[in-house]
Amino acid sequence: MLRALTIACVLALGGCAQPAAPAVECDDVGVRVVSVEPVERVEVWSDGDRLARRSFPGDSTEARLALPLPASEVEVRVWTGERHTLRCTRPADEPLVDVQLAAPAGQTLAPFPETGRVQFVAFEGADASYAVVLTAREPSAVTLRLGGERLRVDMTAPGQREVITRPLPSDRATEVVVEGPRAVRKATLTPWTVGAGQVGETLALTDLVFPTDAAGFVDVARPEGRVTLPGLGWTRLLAWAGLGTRGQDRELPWGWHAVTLRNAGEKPLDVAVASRVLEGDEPAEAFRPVVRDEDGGTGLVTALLRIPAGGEATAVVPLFVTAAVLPEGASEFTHELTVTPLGLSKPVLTRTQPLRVSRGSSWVAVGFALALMAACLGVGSALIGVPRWLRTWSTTDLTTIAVFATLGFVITAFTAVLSSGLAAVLGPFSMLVTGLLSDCLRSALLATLIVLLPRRGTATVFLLLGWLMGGVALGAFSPTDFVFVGSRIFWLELFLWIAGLTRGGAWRDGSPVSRFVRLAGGFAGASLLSMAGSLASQIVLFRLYYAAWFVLLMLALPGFLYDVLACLLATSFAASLREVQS
Amino acid sequence: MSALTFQGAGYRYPSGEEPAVQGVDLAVESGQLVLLTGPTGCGKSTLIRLAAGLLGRHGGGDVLGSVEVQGEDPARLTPADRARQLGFVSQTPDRQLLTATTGDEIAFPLESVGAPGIASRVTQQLAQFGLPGEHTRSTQALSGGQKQRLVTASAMAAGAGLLLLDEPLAQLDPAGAAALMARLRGVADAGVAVVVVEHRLSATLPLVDRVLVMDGGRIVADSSPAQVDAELLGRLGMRLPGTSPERNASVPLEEGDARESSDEERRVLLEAGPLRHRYREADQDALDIAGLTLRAGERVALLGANGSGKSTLIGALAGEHDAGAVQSRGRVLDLPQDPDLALFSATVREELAHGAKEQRLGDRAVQGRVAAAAAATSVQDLLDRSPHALSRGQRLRVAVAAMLACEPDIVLLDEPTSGQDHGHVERMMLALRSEERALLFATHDEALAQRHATRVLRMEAGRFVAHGEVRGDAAPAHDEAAAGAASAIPGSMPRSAPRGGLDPRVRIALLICVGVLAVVLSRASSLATLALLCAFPLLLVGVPRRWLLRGGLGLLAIVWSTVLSQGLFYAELPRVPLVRAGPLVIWTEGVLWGLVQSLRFVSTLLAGLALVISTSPDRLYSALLRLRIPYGLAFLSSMALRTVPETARSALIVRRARARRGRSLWARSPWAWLRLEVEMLRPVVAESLRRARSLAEALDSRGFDPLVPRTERHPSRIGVGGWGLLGTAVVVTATLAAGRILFVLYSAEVLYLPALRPLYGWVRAWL
Repeated sequence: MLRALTIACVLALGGCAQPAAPAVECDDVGVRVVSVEPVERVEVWSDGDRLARRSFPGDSTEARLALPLPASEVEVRVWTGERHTLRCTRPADEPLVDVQLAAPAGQTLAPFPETGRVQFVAFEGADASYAVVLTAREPSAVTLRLGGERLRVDMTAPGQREVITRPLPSDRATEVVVEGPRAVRKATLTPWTVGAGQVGETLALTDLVFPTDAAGFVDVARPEGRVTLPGLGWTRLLAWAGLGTRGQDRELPWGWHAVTLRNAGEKPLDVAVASRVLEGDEPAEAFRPVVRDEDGGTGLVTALLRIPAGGEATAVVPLFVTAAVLPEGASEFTHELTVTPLGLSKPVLTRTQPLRVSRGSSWVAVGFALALMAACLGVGSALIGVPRWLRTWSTTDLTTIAVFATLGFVITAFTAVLSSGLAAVLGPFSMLVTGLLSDCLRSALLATLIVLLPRRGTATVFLLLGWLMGGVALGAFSPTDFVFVGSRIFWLELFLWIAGLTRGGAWRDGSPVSRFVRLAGGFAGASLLSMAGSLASQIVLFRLYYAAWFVLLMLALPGFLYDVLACLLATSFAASLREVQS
Repeated sequence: MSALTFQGAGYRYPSGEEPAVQGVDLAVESGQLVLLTGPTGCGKSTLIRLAAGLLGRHGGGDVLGSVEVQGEDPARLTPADRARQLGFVSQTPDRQLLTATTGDEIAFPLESVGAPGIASRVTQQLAQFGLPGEHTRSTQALSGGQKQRLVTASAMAAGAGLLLLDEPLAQLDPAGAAALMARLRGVADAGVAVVVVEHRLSATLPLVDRVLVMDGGRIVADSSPAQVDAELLGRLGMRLPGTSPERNASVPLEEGDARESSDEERRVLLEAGPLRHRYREADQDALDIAGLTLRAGERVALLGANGSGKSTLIGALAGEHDAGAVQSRGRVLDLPQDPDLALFSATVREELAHGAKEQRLGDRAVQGRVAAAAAATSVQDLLDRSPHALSRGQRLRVAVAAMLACEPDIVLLDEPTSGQDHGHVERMMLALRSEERALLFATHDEALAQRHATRVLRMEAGRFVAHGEVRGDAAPAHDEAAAGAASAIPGSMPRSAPRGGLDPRVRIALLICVGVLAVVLSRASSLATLALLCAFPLLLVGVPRRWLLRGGLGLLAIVWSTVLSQGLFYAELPRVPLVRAGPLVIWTEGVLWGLVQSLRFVSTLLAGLALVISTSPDRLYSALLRLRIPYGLAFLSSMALRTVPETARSALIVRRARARRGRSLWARSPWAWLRLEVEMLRPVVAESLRRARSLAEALDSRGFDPLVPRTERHPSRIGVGGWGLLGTAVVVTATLAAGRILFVLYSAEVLYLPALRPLYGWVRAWL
């Protein structure tokens, strides 16, 4: 304790200057690290062999590794954003064998008291046991007296661990003596006998918070009562690249449950708080603590807790998530929590509640990424191209595009008024009706313009003029226009070019069928990708929900079919206007 | 050096085999006012565009011989030199107006050439052309005559030594025409060479120095006005003033309102009245008459200055305006002022057959109607051509033929003769005569009224002020200035906001901040706060009622649409059904989510409304230029925006024309309806193409260069308050956006910084 205080003082003083290196202390239990920065990982090495390694989630500045230390100096490697290598040595006068006691068995191991009484709760009629755990520091022999039984244990190698379990009578005290080479320790295990039914009445679950951090404090950054995960593809990508918070250490729990229990009785209670997630009646595969492989297929994660008499205590139970096997979208599981007093085989408290999982869609992520990429390319090409086009095109061509932009604006404004009324009745489905008019007319108009001015940039200037007009007349300037207008420019110019519509005007003299095929290919292809990107962008930027069937409907009709219809209509329409132009 | 010289000049269009103009040798000296006349289609417009260098730059055809302006090829002049050396004005002033205010219109070429002292020169030019002195007056609030003078003044503003005008009087009433010609005389007397292409000889001959007559693409006569060959003009379908047999006849007009002909034996075909109409936000009624009756065989001419109410009356009779009771006993057809808008088919044959087919006649009857109408208007040879690819005179005749093929009982024509030569007009008017039909036509041409009307009605300020049977002279001229005051463009309302207050750049930046915040925020409380902040400026600027209505409708639609969509598609758990309709379920949580989400869109809508209500378009464009939007792009979009009302009006006229000649558009199959809707774009697009050409000509002649930086007439400065507000908004927005980005990185499991846990929590709780 004195040493820890000294370390803390040194650290506090050091904190006034630059961040100090962590301090390390070796003792009977193992290694203790105290640091100003949160401790991320600790490794203990001796003679080139790693004795232990442990990662510490959260932002704890103190870490402890319980392990038997050799008599010689050990190297302690500590990660706190950067790596520190420290050294320490176990005190020389320690006993050759560490002795720990769990009474009743299952309770957290505690150092064997030098001498005195150990009280524990025992339940009437229930079988209980206690455990003595021996861990050798050096080869030696230990003699145990367990009640009336005498037992010699030979510890032949450092690190050897022996667990001796014996029944623990609930009606009388049991004496336990450990005679080692350097010390003799003696303890009396005295039961507090409690009726099995009585404990259910005195024990109550007062609070259950999820998610929390490892210390049981509410995780303010996450929505309550829900597991939220990014899309499957994204998770896999991060894991594959070893990037991201979970991709770096997949053994970390996703979060913790903080379970607060009240003990109204007069005696302290030792309980096991067990948690698992069920899918139907079976343990859900996605939530099994697979990294430990210790659950025996039960899916249980257990924490041990001592609740003081008349007081409360909180157990923090981790929730492990194997994200790769969880479906996208929303899903629901059952979270089961049981509280079993140590010494009883059946829980006295059981709580079940739904565990909801929200998972982002990979399609949406991909769609948004594509839209963003297309927007960057579209805006980039416009920034490069517009000055050149303005310089080289004739004024007539520019004004022709401008008056077409006017027509497009009139159509948009007209259908916006129309759709206001329709939207009041049909809601999101009004787009399917108004789109038949607005999308068809606008696409037919743009197709006609491309027939008249078949060159790269025509569509870009048309769209930019429409955007500027909308901004000035309706105040419709928004940063999201970068994505919506930019991606539209990119896809349109790309598909028009691929279809050969902006690589010269010879195609205009082809048969009506070939003209239609080119126009439809160019416009419908661009429209499909623009629509997909637009929907994905709306979902991401505005946090909107769309059902899959609705998305498909939008892609099929306004995204594709309406443009095909528009091109069908524009094929002959545009040809007649070419005569006017000439 | 001559101001303008042609040497063996000519031009062949890309689609033509023969040159439209050829063998022109001509020199026009400074100070000369020259009239160039000839029948429709003889090449006058081609020649004058050749002189302006427009065909050389945009025509795509072959320029023959040489043309020089002040010794230089006009097609090769730089944009600034074009503005300095020549001015070009075409027939329709509306299609040449490039800016929103009179001051900007005059300043345009001055900015193009980088002239100093623009403000004083604008004032001087406005005064010289007798235009209202306020620089900020909306160009849309001017009369037709004033617009024509304005575009002429603008064309001359940069000090051009040559002024070329293509039928500048076509849209003007006699008083307006006389006033403009007087101005042009003054310009010529100041040493400028002026060439005017015109059909209206009575208005031009007394003032010009020289008359050129063209036919078949060649100049066939070049003389002084006193020596003009009347016989030659007669052969070309034109008449010298004073040679018409009807010239000395008179229409004895009586004062007062005569709603009906004295011939009561004829069948009444149309009864209307009382009719009253006032355009939105106008100060006075555009139409206020007790009534009007049309009988079979009657041909009624409506006379009156620009803005006297003739078009409004025809619009009311045609059902365009809801002005009062109109009872017709027969099919009513009207031909809009721009007959091109009545042409919507792919070929002339289809155009003529459309009405008859819609009347469910058999093929033979339809062909009979087509043949008769084509013969009456001399368009038999054009049946397989596209109507919009014809010349203007031909298009007018096709439009009239299409009307005749429907065999209408009542025909309403709104100044359909402008820009037509005498011969074409005569053929058209004769074709329309019938004892079974009533004809009402509005015109400025009093001689036309004398020749073809049985009754004349004169209008002034929306009322009939005189009437009479046709026997003689026309009524006295009308004061053009008064007409101008009463002729605000129907339906258009120039948006003018006081200058001052926040710089528009700051307003745009604030709007963008709102847009960013709308994306960044997710909590109902924060989004509601944002929406309230956005609504606040609207309270300050005072929202006009129509904006309130539009905004309200928009808000309602947004809220409902979002609520319904999120109610249907909400995918989070838990969710509780609110309404079930078969397989569709509306979830309670989704509806609440939709309400929250709609606040996001409402905020941006309110901010946008606040911006456009409080800031005039010219200030916004000025701000956009300062924000490095390319000048050409910003200017073209501003110009495009100004043509919106006209384009919308054209679209409505086409819809109405189509509906009058056929069944209701809704009484069709969806495919037929859609096809017709797209087909209806044809005349609108065709007109837009012509408008594009006119605008390009106006821009070219006034030195438009989309890349060259221009001087700025409206300097603006961001004040301390503006900077403060901007800085605050940017810092707040950037901070919140950074918080959201870090939170998203954490949610996506990309980056987790333990030190930022309070920030993550704050973002989740408050944003």
